[in-house]
Amino acid sequence: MRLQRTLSILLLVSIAGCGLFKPRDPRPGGGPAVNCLTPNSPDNVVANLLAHYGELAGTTCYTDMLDAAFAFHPDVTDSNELAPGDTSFVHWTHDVESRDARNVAADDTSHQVTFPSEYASRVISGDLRTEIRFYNYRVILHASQVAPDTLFQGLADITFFQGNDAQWHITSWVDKRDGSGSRTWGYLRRIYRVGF
Amino acid sequence: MRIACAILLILCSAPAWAQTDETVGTSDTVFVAPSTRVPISYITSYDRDVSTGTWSQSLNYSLYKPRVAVSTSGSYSIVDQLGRASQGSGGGSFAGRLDIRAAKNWIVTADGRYNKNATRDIVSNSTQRQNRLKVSSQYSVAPWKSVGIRAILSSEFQEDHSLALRPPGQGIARVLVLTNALGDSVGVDTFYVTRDSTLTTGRQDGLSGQVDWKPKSWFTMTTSAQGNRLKPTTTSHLGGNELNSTTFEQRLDQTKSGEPNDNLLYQTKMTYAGPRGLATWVSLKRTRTDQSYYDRTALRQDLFSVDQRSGTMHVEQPIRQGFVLNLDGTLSRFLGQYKFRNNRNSLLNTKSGKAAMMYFSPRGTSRGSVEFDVDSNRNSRQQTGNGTNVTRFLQATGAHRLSSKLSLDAVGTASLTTFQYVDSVLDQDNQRVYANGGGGYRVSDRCSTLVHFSVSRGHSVALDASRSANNNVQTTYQMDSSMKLGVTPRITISQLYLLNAVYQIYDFAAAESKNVLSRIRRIDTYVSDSLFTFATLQLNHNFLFRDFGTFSRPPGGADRLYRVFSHTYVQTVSATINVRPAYGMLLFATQSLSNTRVTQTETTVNNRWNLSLGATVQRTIMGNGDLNGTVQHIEAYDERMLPTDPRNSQSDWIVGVTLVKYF
Repeated sequence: MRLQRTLSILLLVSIAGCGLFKPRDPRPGGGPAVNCLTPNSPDNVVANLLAHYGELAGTTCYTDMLDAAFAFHPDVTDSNELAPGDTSFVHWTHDVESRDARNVAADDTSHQVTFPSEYASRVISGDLRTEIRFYNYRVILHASQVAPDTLFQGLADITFFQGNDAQWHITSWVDKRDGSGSRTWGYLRRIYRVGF
Repeated sequence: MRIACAILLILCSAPAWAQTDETVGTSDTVFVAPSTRVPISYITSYDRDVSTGTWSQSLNYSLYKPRVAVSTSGSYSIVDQLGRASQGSGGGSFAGRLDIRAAKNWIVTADGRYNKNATRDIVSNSTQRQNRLKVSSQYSVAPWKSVGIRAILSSEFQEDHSLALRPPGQGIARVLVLTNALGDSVGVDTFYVTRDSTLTTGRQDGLSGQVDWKPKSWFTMTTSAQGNRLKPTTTSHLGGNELNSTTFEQRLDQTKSGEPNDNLLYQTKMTYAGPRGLATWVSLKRTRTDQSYYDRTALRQDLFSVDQRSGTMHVEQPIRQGFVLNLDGTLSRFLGQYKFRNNRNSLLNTKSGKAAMMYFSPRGTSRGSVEFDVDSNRNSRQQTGNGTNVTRFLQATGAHRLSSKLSLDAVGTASLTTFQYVDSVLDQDNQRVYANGGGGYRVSDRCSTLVHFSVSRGHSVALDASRSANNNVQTTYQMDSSMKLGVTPRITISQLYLLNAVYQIYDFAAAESKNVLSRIRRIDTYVSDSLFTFATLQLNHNFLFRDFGTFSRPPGGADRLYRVFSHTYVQTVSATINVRPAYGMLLFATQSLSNTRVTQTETTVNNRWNLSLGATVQRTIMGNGDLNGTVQHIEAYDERMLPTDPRNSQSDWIVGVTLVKYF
């Protein structure tokens, strides 16, 4: 019994200690730093989202705004338009959104993200730790993968949650068409989810 | 060929009938004696939240006899976007299945399905319908004591319809190639599609087989193969108008296509139960499918082909009393290719391994586990995103009960995910470390407490110089505790405490001024009192204090100093009364007031009032029907300190009702 406990501890220590969990060093040089607000409020989260979605240097800032339990829910029509067996929208988690956002940022040559208005009143939970906002969004993005489309427009129902560390993160994003006929943000996201 | 012969030899020379968890065809267990009739069940529910209303209905019926089994089901859901009458969706399916045992080993099955999906918005109405009718004949034999063979021959008639309508001016641009009488292209013409429809028909013929071999009590092998071929005929029909013209023209682009779709699935699984509790299995799987479909985005026929191979292994071995070793490994290769949408082609090679050791003490006072996982995924043949990502994950947990009242537990995890792309600008490492330790003291059922201390560290490292300036380490130190106290049999008080400090320190000295620290104190208090048998009262108080500011070195390079930028106090008081006026019915009302006080250069105060009124029903009606539901109205607003302040009013109905009725 004692021998196995000792072996287990030794195994743990050896795995942890042999550099398996050490990140690589960044390459020399340094680009411009972005201004990433601490997510002390939903407004700061939105500001970071608008400023850094699609921006290569700011992808870490954008993905830091996502909760570990983040889920993206596509528009129903977008979902119906998928080919049979196409699982592009399935299980859209924090990790999927992070990789997808990095792919978008790596491919676009210019971008602009705006929330021109809110189409419904905000919903705030009684304990003030959950807030749902209903945004009209407009994404203008030039990128080879989505060309010739450049405008992505629709509605986003975004749920913000204040965690135990009192920081706010996005837990849920429901994408909807707005009737303008434009492609949605969900369509844009789907294009960049290949192989994961 | 040699492998195939070896497998064939194994299959033919072995003798046992063993049902597996992945049975091909109809299981014998659907035929039962005496006859069993599952009552007709009708379930309807309506759910309404702030933005959507969903009405769902379903109907099911089944009948099982010694020689006949019938099952039918139907369901339909309608989703309306509240406040936007022109937007919504609906979908449902009807299915029926009839199994007849024509002879002892012969089963004939008819299986029909009808699916429909419809969506509507301002710029399009689209509908997809799918009809399927499958007839199959299944024959089972057990030529030897330890061998069971099952073969199924099937034909499925398939019909897919899709229709999309768009109002004038909202058509999708479509370029037509103009040809002369000789078939040579002489130019192109653009028109705007406002109506597109497709009809796909075909018959899918298939052959499936499964062999189960159990030569010994400690060894089982199951092999199955399924193959089918479909040659669908698709007719697409596009109608629309020219640019700047609102007149609908039969400007048709009518095409027919008929490429065969071949599908093949092969899988085998071997299970071995060895001495001293050893349990192991190996599973191999190969899938090749072709799926031709009408791309409703590009308005053309496309073909999606998948070639997938995978192998999985599992070993489970009790080492000695209380210790169990688990080993798992998976290798898989997935190749997905489109005929036209080349930007979605992908080859994904995956390798994963997991080793875990678990311990449970014989007396149940201690438990522990160590787990180490490695996942490696390599993407290739993609237009973008080619590269490798590797995740290593280590976890150790332990818990020990020192006495009937005192227990201790701890958990620690470490993980590193490495992304290494061909386009190295996206290379990134994500490191996470977490440790948590604490314990609980339970005086009695009505009185207990828990305390835990934890530290977590996250480090995202972008390697490329264009992204690395924002690399930072976020470290969180936290203390959680809870206390539950039953003051009297009717009055219970519980409290949750949380202390927390979050440091965000950037890697590069140039970003020193961006380093921040925030600290939190949170105390949540809940008091519940069951006044009478028909009423309860709950009082809640939530308190949060948070300060936030920079945590950086002064210009001289000395130790980092905390300069508080803001203080925030949030307090919420709420009272809820629940009254049970009749059996299965609960009425509730909650009134709350939240006070938020934020101090930066000046202090701002916000008071938010919230009133929720609702009812919950849970009772039997109409004999054997069940009604469950809740209706709630939420009203909230912010007190205005200045006439120009936003009121942030909220007035919402939330409904969820379900009726289940058996006939």
